[in-house]
This record gives sequence, structure tokens and C-alpha cells, in this order.
Amino acid sequence: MARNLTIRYQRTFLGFVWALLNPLVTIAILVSVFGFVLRVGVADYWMFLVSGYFAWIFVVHTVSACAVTIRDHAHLVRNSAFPTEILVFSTAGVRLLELGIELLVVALVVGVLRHGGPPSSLLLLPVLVALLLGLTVAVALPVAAAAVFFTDVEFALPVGMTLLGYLSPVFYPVSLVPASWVSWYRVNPVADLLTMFHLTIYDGAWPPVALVARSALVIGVLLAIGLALFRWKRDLFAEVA
Amino acid sequence: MAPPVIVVDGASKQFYHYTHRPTSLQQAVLRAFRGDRAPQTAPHFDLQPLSLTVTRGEAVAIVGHNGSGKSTLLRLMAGVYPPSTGRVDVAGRVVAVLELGAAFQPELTGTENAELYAATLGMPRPELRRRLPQLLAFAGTEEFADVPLKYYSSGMRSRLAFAVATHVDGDTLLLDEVLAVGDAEFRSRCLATLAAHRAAGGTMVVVSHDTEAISALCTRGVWMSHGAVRADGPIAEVLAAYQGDAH
Repeated sequence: MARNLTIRYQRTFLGFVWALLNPLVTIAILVSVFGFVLRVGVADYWMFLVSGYFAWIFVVHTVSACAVTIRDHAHLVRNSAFPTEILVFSTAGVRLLELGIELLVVALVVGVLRHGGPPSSLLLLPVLVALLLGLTVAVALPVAAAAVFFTDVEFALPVGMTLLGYLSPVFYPVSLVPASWVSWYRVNPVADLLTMFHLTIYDGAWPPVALVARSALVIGVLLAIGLALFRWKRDLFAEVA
Repeated sequence: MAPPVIVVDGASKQFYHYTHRPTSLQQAVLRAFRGDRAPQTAPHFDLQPLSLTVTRGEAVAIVGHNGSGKSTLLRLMAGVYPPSTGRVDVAGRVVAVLELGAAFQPELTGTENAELYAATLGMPRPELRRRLPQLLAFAGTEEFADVPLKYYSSGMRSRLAFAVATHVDGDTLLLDEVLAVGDAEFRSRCLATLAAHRAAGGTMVVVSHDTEAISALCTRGVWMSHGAVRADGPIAEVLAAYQGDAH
């Protein structure tokens, strides 16, 4: 895990600065487009955006990185006996560290600027991060396994992720979704999760217990399915990767 | 009789053939629609069911032509491939060196790579730290300990990898074609290390074409041919039969 981190930034001139610079530039663009041109109509739009944006970007980056991790470590997979899930977990672990730093900054800045001090709801953030990690791994495991067999996965993933991003409340709040669509909209587990991130950081309010429980249940089931799918094909990785 | 450390019981390995599998989603979908399954009419066993027991302290050499199933057998013993049928049971700490430096990362230094490789072979970091000076001295790469691995010569890389592999203290060593590393001087030191491993009661299974080395090192020979055991017995006899067959 530490190896992944150091390798990633070792040869770069600005080092870890890139980890902050990229999302900041993207956020500036998104705020200009959705806050000033399309005018989503949310007070302090940029604060709303950052409350959920980093969590979503964590999903996108982790799943994309996991798609290639088994092939990248093919040498290791072919030559030593170890549970290959570790490759997916460690990939997610590296990103988790970045997410932790980002969320800390966001929670403090939004807390001070919008609520005059960090609200108590931030205490729920570790739980939300755990749910986010669970959901991400649940998606990443079958994607990683499928990518071993089909190169198509790599090409399909960016499109799929963009689609999922627009079907989730990343750039706009759920309140803008037509009321008749909402129950279908919420089938996407990312929707509820991001809503909870918005509630705890942007609104400084505790999400309803039912919402947290429902999300945890769905993610738990998805995680079990993801792990089962991965293990179903795991024994072939040493031959095919 | 010494207790068995590796028991291969009717284990076989059938590969998931590259040519038989769809290489893209398009192919997979087309196949599903056409209803033609992967062309697996004749099941082709790469390793036929075989049984083999290695007891503690034994030194077994696996010989045979390229593609005869030597490495597949070793990978089954190492647990990299689960057997398609039968079972493989292993006792104690098995260190499998199937490819030297499998985990090496070119951007990391010699020391970092040694730690990483040892970790993948099952040795915890503190233990390795303790043995590092000795290990680097053995490999003869002390002066380059903090140099990224990409600047190493291939000989130095192999030497470092071999040094790590023999310093992780496995009860059983599984070695695949790793005797032919480094120069003559390093090779003789490798052989001395392996002889010391045996003298200490360690077990090993070696795949090698280096008949001179294995006849000095091993007591038992297993001759593989077309995915099956052709002969199994004292090393001198098996080697004689194998070499006689080649001529």
C-alpha cells in the first residue's frame, strides 16, 4: 500500500500537490458551469458541490484503478499464492488516505464558513466513509475480475462511471429530481450515500436513522455479491492475468 | 520414515485455454447467440492426475523437456494453481521461487525491493531488517542498497532475488530454474547455500536443466513427460534414463 503511494508520486515534480491541484481546478470549472451559467439554485453552491464531489471521485478513481490492478500485478499473481482480493483492497486503501485528507479540509472549511464552526453531524462522517468504502469495493471487485478476462471493461468503465455520476446527486441535489422519478432514482445506491454526505457536511444535520440503516443494508448485500463474484473466478487469475 | 511435507494426491491441472476463451465481450456475446460453446470437445489435460509424496529432508529434482509440466507441478505444490482434480497438501512454511524477483519494482531501491519480495514470500519486515546486511553481503550488492533497481544489471537483480529467496527460512524451498543465476562464483555460493539448507533438515523441490548441479544437490529425481511422471527414483538412475532417452 505504501509502495503504491510512493511509486505514484516519486517521480513527479510537484508530488502530492497534484493530489490537491487536480480536484481544485475541476471544482472551479464545475462551480462556474453549474453555479453561474446553469444556476442550479443552491445557496453556496460550491460548498454543496465539495460536500459530495470528493466522495464520488473516490468511487470513480478507485474503481478505475482496480480495473487494471490485477493485470498490473500479473507477475505477482502468477508466481505467488495469495488472496488476490488484497490487490483491490490495497488500491482502495491508498485512495482512502487521499479521501480522508480531502474530507477533513472540506468538513472544516464548510463547517466554519457555513455553520460558524464544525457541526456535530460531522461525527457521522467515519460511518459514511465506511459505507462509501464498502460500496466502492463492492463495485471494484467484480470489475477487477471481469477486466482480467475482457479488455472491454477498461473502455466501458469511463462511460459507465460518467453515466452513474449524472444519475447521482453529484452536481445537483436530489430535490431537483422530478418527484415521480425519485423512487426509481434511489435504486442507485450512490444516490442515498451522497445525500447523506450532503446532509452531514453541507446542511450540518444528522441524516435520518432509517436512511443510514437502509444504505448500510443495501451496501452489505452488494459487498457480499461483489466478493462472491470475484471469488468465483479468482482461481483462474494465475493462468489468465 | 520422515514425515511427508508435500502430498500430491491424484492432482491434475486442466488449463483454461487462451485459445478457447473469448478474448472480448463481442466474441462472448456472439458465441452465446450462435450457441456454439467454447470449442472444448476434447478435454486436454496439461497435467494428468498424478500422485507424489515428498518427505522432510528430501531433495527432489524435477527434470523433463520444455512443456512437460514441470513448472505446472511446482505451481500446484506452491498453491498458485488450485488443482483441477485431486488434492495437494503441504505442511510447514513453503517458499516458492517460481520466477526470480516476481514482485520487484524498478523504481524502488534494492533494500525496499528486498523487503517487498520477502513480504510476498512470507517473511515479516522486522525479521528481514535484521538479516538484511547478511543478505546484501551474500548477494554482493551492498554498495547499491539505496540505488533504484532499474539501474541494476540483470545479474545483480537475479543475485538479489536469489539472496532474498534463500534468506526467508522456508522449511521447504520450491525453486524453478533459478540455479543458473550470476557468475560461476555466485553459482557455487548458491549451491553451497542450498546444501546448507538440506544439511539443516530442510526440504526442497528443484526444477532445473542443470544436471551437474542437481546430481550434486538432489537425492531423488522425477522425470516428467507430456504432463505425466515418466520415472521417479534415485537421481542418478532417473537422470541416466532421461539423458539416454534424449539421444
